[in-house]
Amino acid sequence: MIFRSTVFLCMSLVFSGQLLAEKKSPTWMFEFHAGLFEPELSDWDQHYGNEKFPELGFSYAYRFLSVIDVGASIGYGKDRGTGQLLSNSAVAGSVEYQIIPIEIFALLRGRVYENQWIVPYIGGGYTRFVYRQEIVGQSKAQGSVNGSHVRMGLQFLLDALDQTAAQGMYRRWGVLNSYLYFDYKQTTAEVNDIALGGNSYKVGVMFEF
Amino acid sequence: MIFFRVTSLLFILCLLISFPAGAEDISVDSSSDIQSLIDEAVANQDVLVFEPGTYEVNIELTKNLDLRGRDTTNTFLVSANGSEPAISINDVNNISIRNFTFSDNDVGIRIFDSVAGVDITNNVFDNNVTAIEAGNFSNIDIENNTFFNNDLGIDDSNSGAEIRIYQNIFFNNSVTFSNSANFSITYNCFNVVLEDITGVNNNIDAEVSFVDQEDGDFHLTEDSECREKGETEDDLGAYGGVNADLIPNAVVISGTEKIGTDSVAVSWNENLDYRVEGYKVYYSISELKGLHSFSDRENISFVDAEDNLEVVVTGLDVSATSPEKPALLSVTPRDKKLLVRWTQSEDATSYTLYYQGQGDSEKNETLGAVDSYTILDLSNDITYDVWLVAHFQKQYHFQVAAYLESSTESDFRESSFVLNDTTVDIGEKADSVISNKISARPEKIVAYPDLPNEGCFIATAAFGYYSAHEVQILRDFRDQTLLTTEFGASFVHWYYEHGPKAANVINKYEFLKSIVRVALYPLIISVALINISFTLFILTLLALIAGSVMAFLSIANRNKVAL
Repeated sequence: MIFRSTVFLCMSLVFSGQLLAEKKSPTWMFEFHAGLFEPELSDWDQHYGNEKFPELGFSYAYRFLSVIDVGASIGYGKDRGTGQLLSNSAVAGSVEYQIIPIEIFALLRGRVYENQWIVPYIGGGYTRFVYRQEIVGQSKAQGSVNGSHVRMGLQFLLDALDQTAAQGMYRRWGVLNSYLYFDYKQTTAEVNDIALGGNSYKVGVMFEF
Repeated sequence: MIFFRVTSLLFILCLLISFPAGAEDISVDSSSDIQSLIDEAVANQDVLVFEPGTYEVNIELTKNLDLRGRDTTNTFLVSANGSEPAISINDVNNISIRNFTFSDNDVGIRIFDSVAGVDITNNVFDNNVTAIEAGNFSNIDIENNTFFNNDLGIDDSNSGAEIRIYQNIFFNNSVTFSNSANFSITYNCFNVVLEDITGVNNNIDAEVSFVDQEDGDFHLTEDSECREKGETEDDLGAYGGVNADLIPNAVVISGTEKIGTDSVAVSWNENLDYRVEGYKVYYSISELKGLHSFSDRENISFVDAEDNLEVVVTGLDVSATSPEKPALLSVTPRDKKLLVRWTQSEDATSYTLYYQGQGDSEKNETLGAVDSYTILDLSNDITYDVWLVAHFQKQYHFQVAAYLESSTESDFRESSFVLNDTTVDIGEKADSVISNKISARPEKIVAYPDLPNEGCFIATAAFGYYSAHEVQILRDFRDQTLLTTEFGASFVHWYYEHGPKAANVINKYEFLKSIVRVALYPLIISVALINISFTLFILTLLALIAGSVMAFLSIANRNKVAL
């Protein structure tokens, strides 16, 4: 069973090259992702009950020289936790914390030939880190701050797994290649000496047009 | 001898077992799967009795059954799928449908190929497109129904149905019959003159006079000319004839007043159903809801008010015992408020929550039977003592029922109760012992991390404080309008980048605040208008432009004349 599956997978990957070779080179990329954001603040879990909270987003990029992607992305994350009393820091009240990281980035992709199954990438850029924090029933605070980010990851070409579906995507939507990718990102942003940044662990899909 | 007796008993027992079971009433309520009940029911035998309620259905009668509503006025059949009839009967004989209200359907009942014995009696058809649609050799008896405000009363446009129309009322229908060639129409009441129908075969055009047709009460009043006009002096319409339900419409209590220490005066609106003989006022310390039968009511206290519309219920038991001491569980500080929680005392009907700040007078809040409360508008600088007292007071529930001339168990003739009973607190309040006291100081909560709020920097600097009304208008504009568009959001981000620099300059020079305030006011007024309505803003802007143009032209003309 395992042998048959492996053979099928290998055959699919080998023959996929013939199909994809007929396509033009992609110039635009669209991706959406979901994952976890781990704030840099060390006491996060004491107030929010966990070290990470969900984050999702999407991005759009233009490709230069077949290996450099330049684009922008926007994300959204939300966590709920507790506040503390001003006098003795005892746990009190409930707090809702939301982030919207808006990014401009450049990525260097390690793609040396067309239809490469696994593509590593690394990059970074500017981050405008928008936050909103509500102490339920008391007050709201919101603002934004400049920051930066670096990211890296691996992209896995999906087209080879199902050529019929890949052809359908191309004919119907003009999608040249589809990738599944795993991404690590470190964001740096500060306001009043409070570190708003952190680490993101995401999985996403990318479509090349 | 003994052998003979035992043998006889066994023989009788065998006979009883070998005979089929008798007709069974199958109760239907709003939770029933009606089509399954119909499919499982025994043909020619079972009766499906619908409890009061609104049923959204598309019933397909596939066998010979009787469908009955318990209470015509309050048992509604409404099509679940608008274009399909509420009830369809196709090629089935010996059907009886009675005591329902068919309301707001495209088609109330559709009957095809049912060659004999479809009886539609004592129903109300209110505001349907077509009340009854029949055809293809159906043989139908439509007796003692009320047709009100339908686009078409009875449709035989497919031709062929032999329909007996007997002792019905037709009121305000756009078209009463379509293709009545095969109709036998006798003893009916119409509110219009119909050629070849009214004035012959004991059909009359008359003053119908329903109790409250707008509210769906089609019982007849004292003034109705459709009373006792049937073949055997029965009333015409849905509430006449031998199969009519004997349930007057529900009575609504209009007022209650405590009198003395143990009496309550109860008054209600008159039920104009001419058959109503009097009223009973039911009262209980338990809730009185949804009681429809004699057995439901036989153990409930009541006063027979006869035909009066007010009665004083006296001798109520108003004795009260003190509820147990409530336990204050927690008093949680918040910014300028305290959240108080306690365990509910058994039998407590209300609470008084007391609180007193240091050096302040005692205050209290009267609360219902709850177990938490937030004390607002406190000072963060003061410690408050909080305590609680539980109270018990007798509470009586009242309902009024109209009755016809008899209301024995075998012939129950009383109206159902309205959905919400009327309650009255009466008698002395018995207090519990004071609860434990808890002291707490209201306190601001800080979030983690404690992030700064970036308001409208320039306006805040100019108006002096963040919560100024003018600044709030700009914040609302930012949140409700600017941030909803891409351009607006980018402007907000640009502003957050550069606004603080300008705000710093304004903060340094006092004279700048006045200048900026004056400069901001046109913007604030425009934004306030946009916050209310963008159309209002545009109209105001157009009015200002038009006014300016007119003023300019007027000045120009004046100058021209002067020259």
